[in-house]
Amino acid sequence: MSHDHDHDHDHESSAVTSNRVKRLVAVLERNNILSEAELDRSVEEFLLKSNPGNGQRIVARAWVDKEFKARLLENASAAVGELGIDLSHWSPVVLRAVENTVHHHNVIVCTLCSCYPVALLGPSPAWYKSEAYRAAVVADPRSVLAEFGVQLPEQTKISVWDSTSDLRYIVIPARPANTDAMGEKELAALVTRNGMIGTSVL
Amino acid sequence: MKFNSGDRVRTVLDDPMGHSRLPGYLRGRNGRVVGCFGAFGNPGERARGNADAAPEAVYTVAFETSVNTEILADLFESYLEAL
Repeated sequence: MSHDHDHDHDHESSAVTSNRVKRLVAVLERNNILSEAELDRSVEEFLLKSNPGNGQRIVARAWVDKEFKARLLENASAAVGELGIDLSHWSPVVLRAVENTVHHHNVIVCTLCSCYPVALLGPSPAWYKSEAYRAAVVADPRSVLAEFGVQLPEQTKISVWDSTSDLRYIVIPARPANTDAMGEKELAALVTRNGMIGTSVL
Repeated sequence: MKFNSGDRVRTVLDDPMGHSRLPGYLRGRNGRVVGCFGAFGNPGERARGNADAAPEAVYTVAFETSVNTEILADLFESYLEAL
């Protein structure tokens, strides 16, 4: 992927989008539907509840507690509630957790826009929103992962989850070796954002 | 619910006016239903002014793309036909 070209292209299209959003907000205000101040307050409230520490805690708990992990894989929205993580502001989103193992690697994308589990990971990185990533990861995930430094043998199954509706995904990365002596807090600190998107192994 | 886990389905070829959450690269393709994890308002319907449309079942559908590689997408029931 040519980083310079994609960077310019992304700047150009983000300026176009930015202008379109400004005009849309102006129309909404003129028609007394929504004010910019209300919008800002809403975004700020949402971001205050969005904390990458949430994702890390979920992964660490899944690593140390097999039953929790089973509940998480079955119904993630309910399971994260056990950790005091309140997703009600995120409704009607349904959360799904998918687990990376030696045999199966999962990676997340939103090809249509850039849907992302902000509540659990914080705001998304620029590369996740780029047209380059969104196009390439569904066309050739094995190569894209290799570019991120994740070399997977042909025998490893790859699942690419395209967040096309109101489901949001978090990847439970494989627990790194030599961590048996670590407590939950220490383990949580090992969990990276890219690990929870699926573009990194820990 | 129209589809069950394991059902083979085909996505529609429509490219409707306005908004759709069926990505272009997944139109007219055969897949396998993995499950149904919720029903949600269809934003395409809302964009067409149909704000009161009932929530529509969303199915997670797997598409084999190459050896040991699949894409899974969450698709509204109206995007899918039984195979």
